[in-house]
Amino acid sequence: MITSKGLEHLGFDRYNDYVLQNDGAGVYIAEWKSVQPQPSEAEIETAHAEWQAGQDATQYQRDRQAEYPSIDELVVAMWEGVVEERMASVTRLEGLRQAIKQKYPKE
Amino acid sequence: MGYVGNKPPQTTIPVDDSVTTAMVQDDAVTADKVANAINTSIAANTSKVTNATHTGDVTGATALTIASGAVDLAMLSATGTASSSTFLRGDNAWAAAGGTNTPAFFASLTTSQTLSDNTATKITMDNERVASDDYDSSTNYRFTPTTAGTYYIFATCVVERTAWMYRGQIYIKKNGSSWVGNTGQGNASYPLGKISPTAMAIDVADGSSDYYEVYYWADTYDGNDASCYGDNEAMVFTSFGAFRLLT
Repeated sequence: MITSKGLEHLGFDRYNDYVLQNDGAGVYIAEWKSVQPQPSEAEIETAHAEWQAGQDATQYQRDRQAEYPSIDELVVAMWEGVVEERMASVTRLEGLRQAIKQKYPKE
Repeated sequence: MGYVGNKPPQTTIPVDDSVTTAMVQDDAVTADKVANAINTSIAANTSKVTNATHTGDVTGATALTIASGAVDLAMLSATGTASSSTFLRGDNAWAAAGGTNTPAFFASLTTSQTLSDNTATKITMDNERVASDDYDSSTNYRFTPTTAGTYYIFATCVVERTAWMYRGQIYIKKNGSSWVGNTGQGNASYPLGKISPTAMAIDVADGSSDYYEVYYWADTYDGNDASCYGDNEAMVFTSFGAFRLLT
């Protein structure tokens, strides 16, 4: 299947090098604008698979990011720990961060 | 008084204002013997100012008037045929009144449709809520009006991602080319979860080959799909419609 990410993985610009369209029978290249030769569908599929593998390998990062405490929470906890010498928030947030890391381990 | 020969018959000349009606023979006074002013009045018929009392459509004894409600359609000289669907125009012709805004249709998307990232995808509006033979709701999902005229055409796509979208754009394509569009756009800092633009326009269709379709271009940026909302219970979300304007 032709995908924008497959073409991007081959080095093409998603906004300037091609136009993809789907009239109901699948995605096809409606317009090729790059000065480089148009890749074959097989080349695009291979590139998409490579891109997808990279995505899968780093999915844990996005999963963690979505559940980590916000920057605001971290700053407040650090302020309380360093300036006010109250470690309760730091301890709680660190526990939360470790739990998220265990929930989404590196592959 | 003496005469030479026979005595002439004696003639009597009437004195002024002494000629009676009886002294004038019937049919003896000709127009030439009547004053010119009287002849003029007779010719113009201006002397007669009273009539017998008229009744019916025209009434009165002096000035004559048309009775209220007396003039019916049969008395008019208009061309064409008077009927419950015609009206009398200023040029004295009976013309068809009103009209219908057909062909017209309104269709929605029954079930949600997947939209690939960075791809202009035709939206398959398959639920004809106002049906027309001119809208293909099963194969090409296009409106091909078979009556030439001016049309109001509109479409909306309700599109979302569970994460976010960078941009979304609706197109109404005419004869396969982008024609009318509308867009919504966030940015890397403020991406949008839903981008649901509406496009509308008025266009003159030739009634034979011109056709219209709806596309949506979803820019999810991260490569994942977006989703175009289908009908939800009785609620219409994604839809496409058109009707002919009376001109």
